[in-house]
Amino acid sequence: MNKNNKEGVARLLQIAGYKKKLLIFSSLLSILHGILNLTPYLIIYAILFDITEQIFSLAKLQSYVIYGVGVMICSYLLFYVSLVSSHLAAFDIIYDFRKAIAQKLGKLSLGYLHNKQSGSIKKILIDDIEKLEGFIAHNLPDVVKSIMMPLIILCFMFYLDYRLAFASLIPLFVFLIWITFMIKSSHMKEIVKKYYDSSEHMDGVIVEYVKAINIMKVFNQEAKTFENYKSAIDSYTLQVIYFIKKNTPFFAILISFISNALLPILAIGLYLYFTQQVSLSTFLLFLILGVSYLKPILSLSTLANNMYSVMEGIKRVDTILEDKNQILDSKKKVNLKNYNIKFTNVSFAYDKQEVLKNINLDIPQGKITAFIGVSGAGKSTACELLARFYDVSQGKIEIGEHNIKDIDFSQLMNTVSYVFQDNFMFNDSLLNNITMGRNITKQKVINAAKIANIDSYINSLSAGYDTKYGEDGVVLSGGQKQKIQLARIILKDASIFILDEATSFFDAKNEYEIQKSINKLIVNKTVIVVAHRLSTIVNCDNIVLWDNGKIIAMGTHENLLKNCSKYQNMLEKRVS
Amino acid sequence: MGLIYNLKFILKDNKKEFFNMLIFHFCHSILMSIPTGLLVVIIFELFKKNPNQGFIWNLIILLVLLLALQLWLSAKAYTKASTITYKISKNLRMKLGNHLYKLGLGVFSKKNPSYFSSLLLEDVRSFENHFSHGIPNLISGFFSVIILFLFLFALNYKLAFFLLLGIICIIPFVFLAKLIIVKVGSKLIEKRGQISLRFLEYFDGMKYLKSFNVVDLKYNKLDNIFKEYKKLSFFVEILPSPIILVSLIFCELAFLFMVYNALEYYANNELLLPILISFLVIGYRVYDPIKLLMADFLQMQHMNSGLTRILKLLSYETIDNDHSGIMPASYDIKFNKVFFSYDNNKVFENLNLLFKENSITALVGYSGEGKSTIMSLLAKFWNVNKGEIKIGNVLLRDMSLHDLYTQISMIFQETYLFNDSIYNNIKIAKPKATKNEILLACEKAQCISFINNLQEGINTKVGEGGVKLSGGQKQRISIARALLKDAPIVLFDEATSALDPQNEFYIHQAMKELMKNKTVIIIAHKIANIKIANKIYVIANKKVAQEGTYSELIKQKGIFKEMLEYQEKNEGWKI
Repeated sequence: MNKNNKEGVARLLQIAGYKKKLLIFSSLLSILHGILNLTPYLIIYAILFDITEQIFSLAKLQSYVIYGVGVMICSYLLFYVSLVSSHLAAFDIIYDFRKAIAQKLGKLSLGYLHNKQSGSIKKILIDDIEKLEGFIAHNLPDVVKSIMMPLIILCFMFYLDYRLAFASLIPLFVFLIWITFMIKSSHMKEIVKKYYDSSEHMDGVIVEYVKAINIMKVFNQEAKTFENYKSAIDSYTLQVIYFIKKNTPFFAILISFISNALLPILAIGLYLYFTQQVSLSTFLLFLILGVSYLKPILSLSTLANNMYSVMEGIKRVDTILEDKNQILDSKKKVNLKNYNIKFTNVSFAYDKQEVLKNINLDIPQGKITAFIGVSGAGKSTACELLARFYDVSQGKIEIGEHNIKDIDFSQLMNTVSYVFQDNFMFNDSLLNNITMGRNITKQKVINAAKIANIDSYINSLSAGYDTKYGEDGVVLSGGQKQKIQLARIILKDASIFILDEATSFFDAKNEYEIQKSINKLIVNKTVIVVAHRLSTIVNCDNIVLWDNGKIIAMGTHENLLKNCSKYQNMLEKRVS
Repeated sequence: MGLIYNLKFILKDNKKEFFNMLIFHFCHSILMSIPTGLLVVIIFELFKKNPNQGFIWNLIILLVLLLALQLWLSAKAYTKASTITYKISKNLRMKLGNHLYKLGLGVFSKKNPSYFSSLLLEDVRSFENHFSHGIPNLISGFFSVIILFLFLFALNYKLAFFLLLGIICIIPFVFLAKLIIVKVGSKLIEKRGQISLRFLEYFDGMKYLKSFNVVDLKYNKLDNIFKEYKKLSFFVEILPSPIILVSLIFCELAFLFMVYNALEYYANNELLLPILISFLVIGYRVYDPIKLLMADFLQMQHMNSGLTRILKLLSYETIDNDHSGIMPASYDIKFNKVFFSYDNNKVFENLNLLFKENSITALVGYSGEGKSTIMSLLAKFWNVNKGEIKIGNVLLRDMSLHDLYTQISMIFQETYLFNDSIYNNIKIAKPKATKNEILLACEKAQCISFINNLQEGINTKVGEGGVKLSGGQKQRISIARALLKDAPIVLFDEATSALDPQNEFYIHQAMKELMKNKTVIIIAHKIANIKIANKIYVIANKKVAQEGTYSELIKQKGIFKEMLEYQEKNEGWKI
């Protein structure tokens, strides 16, 4: 799926090139089909010729017709095979792209993924890529056929009679002049641009209208929003109708003319026939062939529009595939002597904004370290760097004296347990939601679920651990999901815990049960607590106070209470 | 639903124009057919012993004139078709937008917002594309075929019948192909739904997959679905096409069969030479419009499935009414014997509540007991199944949404902010507010401190949905909106998330400002915060389990006391 900086049509052709053989095969068959489809014309010609030359033989001509039947059946068989191969190519390419995107997303840094909207990536993966089908399976063979067939017929006609062949070309010249005139006309360009702009504007307004409809209702802004909505649609319609008035007559005339382009051949043919420069049979054949060979060209006129939307889609696909925000994996397993964590001169910038500034910090094994500070102070970012959601811009983070960049990524993941605030569930059985699809004995799972206080609930379900979650399955409350997540973490049994203290408890009873399990979980580990409630952490070994990307104070609760005014301030606000 | 039914519905308001356009297309197809007729006349003349050249040239001149007329008609007819298409699509979008506004929240909560926008964008656009091209093609194809056949039948009914045979054979095949397309097509849509579900899971759950080292496991599952989808989409394309190809072959065979017989009749002197020639020259062209017609007909099926979705949405019952100006005299709110169920789940059975004017009422209970639903019912996101809700002396059912919303301020758990400045986000609560009023609301809502820390202050853009602000900050903006609006009823759904202490403190201060002299309903998650309430309802088992003041309730045995005990334990939790 390598792009090599190609864009637009060149990029599309490059993509088609991934399945070159199939597509060439398909195009050849399609051309062959076109040639064989001329058989009825040849039979007509033979009949006309024999009759006008007065060598009519019923048996001979009827046998031609019989052969013709066979040839036509073969011809359509070839066409079918051509369709099958172009679709094979198209769907293979689409599949490869989907695979490449999914793989790429697995490699990108998590921080990057956080900032992407799943909806828009989904649209790229499903809708934008799908557009390739039309281009590869239909447009491409169509283009080849619409160019090759007229050429072949034209050669044949020139072979028969060059003057009539020229006459048959007249509509084509008109077509070309007409089209060039249209494309050249700068006025048209302007109209098209306005049309696309108003269409884009309308799309945006509609999307926001739908999203915000309820909030707008509540604030009684419906009249204004609807006014907005209405005017966007009005101006779109106005543009389109203007576009139609300028454009449609043009095309309508062209289509009408091309699909009934009898006149030039008829007039010139009659003249040549009356002056005895051409035989009646040739003249009559031209009347049939010369009119119908131009029709494939009409199918090209819708091509430009299609291509435009395919190219837009591919552009988006390429931006994902070429994203450089990948986490580099050393793939080297290391021997961790201990689980002490050390931040040395760590700085981190995101979107050019400095989030962490020169952080130095020791987090010893077996102790509990608490991070506190207002949201946006940098405490969560420090944890995310430790779990390699992002990589540091400067400095290093070490675990057991190894830079985390040098530790095999999956080893690092096994070492660090990040207890997230959201409680993501997969559409799978509860068992698989706890094991995360890994092979773990049921007994271990049950033990973990017991510690997490969810075992008895799961057993109360009719299918027990095999109960499906999600679509057509069981619906869990937020608290229950929290407990499932806890069971996952218990099973993982990592040495370092990052505990983003759940900010959201669904009710007090649930909170109580979860807190009991957490206390069991963290005995003898390296623990970082990102705390939101000061009362929770007064017993911690070390409390780190973050502010504006820096550490402004560190120490035990008593220590900070005595020496740090900011800490005192935070406590006071809580009490009031 | 059938194509005809859907089109009838869509064309309801534009019937006249539509038939006007049909007439133009009809005339155009006649003019397209006349040259063929004149060609036969010319062929007849050519096979006479002494063809009259002058007569033939006159015919050619006539053809030129007719061509001019044909081109003019074509321009008219196609312009009319396109214009009417976009008039209809405009109507459709307006109707849909209007209808969406009047729908209850029930419809919205079951579907992703992108479902509605894709309906308004893609489905309507598919109508625009297919209707503006497909319908004219279908019409002119249909008329041309009929005219050509009338003509051929007049020349020689036997030969014409052979040609017609091909078309008759096609019809069942086309319908078969349509059936298959619809059937496998719906399977494909289902699979597509699976892909998006699995992909979103993979994408949204990535940090979990990584942290448990199971990215590959999930990726393989996703890959399997990609593979299945690839196979299925291949079959959807390839399965119906032999049927279409077979029908094309039928056309070819019918033509050859006609030729075969014509030769025989000619040899037996049953057929005049010019007629034979005419059939040879014209006969093959009979099928051209048919081939186009077939493709357009099948394309129409795509349009039709979109139209069916549109019609379905338009058929959902609305929750709004056109009454206006019905205003309550007082702001006591009363739930009287309310029954409500959601998706066959009974949420409330015989719920009775009273929220007094100028007082604060709190709703308390374990999660999932329906506290938020009470607020949704009051805000008329849903209608009750049985019983009534009254504001003052006015039934909620009788109030229009507009009137209702002038009287309530709502603060949701999740605040939706527009991708606009903070200033404009607050201003929507009262579009005519002065800058001073807005700044005052900010100050009262404790927003000033964080706004001043932003680089562009109150003019800072908040990003889509307000991503650039924290949950607590968004909630404070929401309170500022409510302060600015100054409605007599305030509904406050306290966020479940434990905000950092600073935020919590600020929100508390802001709430105190907001609640002065109003009918206030709070959904409280922290019992400690509701000591100020004049009355507390504990909701459990689909109805009110306990009611009273804080001091009354803590003396009773029951849910309230139980919750309080848990909360005290939690407060004391230490790591």
